[in-house]
Amino acid sequence: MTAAPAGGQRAPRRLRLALVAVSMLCAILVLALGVVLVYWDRYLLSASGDPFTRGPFVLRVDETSAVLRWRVRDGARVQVVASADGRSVRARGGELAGLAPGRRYTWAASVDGHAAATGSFRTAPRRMRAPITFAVIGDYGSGNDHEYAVGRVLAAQAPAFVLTAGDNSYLAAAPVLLDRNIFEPLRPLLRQAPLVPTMGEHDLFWRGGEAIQHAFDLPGSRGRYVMRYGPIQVVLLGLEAGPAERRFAAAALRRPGPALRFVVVHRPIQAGNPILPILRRAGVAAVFAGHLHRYERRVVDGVLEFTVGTSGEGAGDLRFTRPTAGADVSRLDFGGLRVDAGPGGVLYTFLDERGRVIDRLRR
Amino acid sequence: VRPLRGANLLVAAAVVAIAATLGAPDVYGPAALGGILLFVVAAGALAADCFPWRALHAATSAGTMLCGLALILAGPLGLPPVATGAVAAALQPLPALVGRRTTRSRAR
Repeated sequence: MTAAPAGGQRAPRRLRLALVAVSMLCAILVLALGVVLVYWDRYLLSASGDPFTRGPFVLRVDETSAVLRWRVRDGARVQVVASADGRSVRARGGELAGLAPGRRYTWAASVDGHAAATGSFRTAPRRMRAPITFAVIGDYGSGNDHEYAVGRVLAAQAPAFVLTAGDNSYLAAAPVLLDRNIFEPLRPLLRQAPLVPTMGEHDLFWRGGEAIQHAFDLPGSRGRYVMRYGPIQVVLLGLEAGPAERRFAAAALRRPGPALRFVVVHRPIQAGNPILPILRRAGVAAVFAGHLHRYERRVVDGVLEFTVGTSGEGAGDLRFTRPTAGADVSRLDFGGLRVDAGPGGVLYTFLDERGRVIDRLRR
Repeated sequence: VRPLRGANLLVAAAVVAIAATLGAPDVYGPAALGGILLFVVAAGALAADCFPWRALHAATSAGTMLCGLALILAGPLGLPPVATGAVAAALQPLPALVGRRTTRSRAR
């Protein structure tokens, strides 16, 4: 008779103890979960992603100003500051004014108060006192590993600007392809040097090169314009050196001032072209071309000409990529040309996609 | 529940003693450890206070859990471990003291 109530009291007591134990276990789990969540938030979640969908890239640089362009997600507010020699300059609408000539400026583009992209550029010097380094690429815009590699190798040369001999985007320079074919692969390069493009067949195929012209705010049409970088003049002719381009080049090369002149055209200029005597008389240091997917160096009617057509797209069928007769050097290696233009002459160095020197010429 | 409250009282007193001797930031490690013990043991006490329901006991257990959390987060939030530990210590005998006073007044 007495055993029943004692057993009846023991059962709720055990239940209570079990409840206490379960509650304590739950508390431990809550704390463990809290620790995991805090650790996850503070140490495992990465920083906010890249707010830029394009660039920022250096669009233009001259002696006292520079222009940067970008596209940004969600209309975020971007502030660009450039600095050199202990002095900072704040950009207005991407335009930096009041810069000192011949200086390397570092820049930082900040979103929400912290730098989201950085780079540097060199303003043009007034006179040719020290060598100016620039790069030349061509037939590159395919968005493949070779293009990325060439872009990295040339970025390491810290060029002042980059000339392109056309075919900037394959198969066509449609607006939707430019990020994939130009701005992404060449991102490290474009953060420090403006791209100075002329146009090839693949660029002109899409509305006469409208997309390239708009993206790089080019002054001329169909890749025909003149660019000055301090004492260097570059005359870009577009697809080929025909009669109209001949007149354009003659007028541009008559302008006084430059210490060195270069010409860029997509299709290589062949012997007998009437433009060659004009270039020779004007003292053009070299012609840079593309179109043929090879690297070639040759002298055509007394004018030094480089074909830089291996910066990304590649040779393809060798039956259509034969070496040019009379070329001093003709190679299929992917790469780009580094040019050091100084008061004592010009040094041309072709670097392959691994950074090796393939060809070198001092003139 | 008495053993649980006794354990919490010991832990809270230890936290107060350590906090009185150690300065910041050395105190935050032992304080967080004490806070974890207070939080877990008080959770068990809270469960016991719910069956049967005893409002004051449950409230002090919940308050002890909050003190435990405050001790865990004392470092990041800059809360004083001495004061938090003292509050936790004061909460433990409170139901017994209030209960004794109520019994006396009823007897009168």
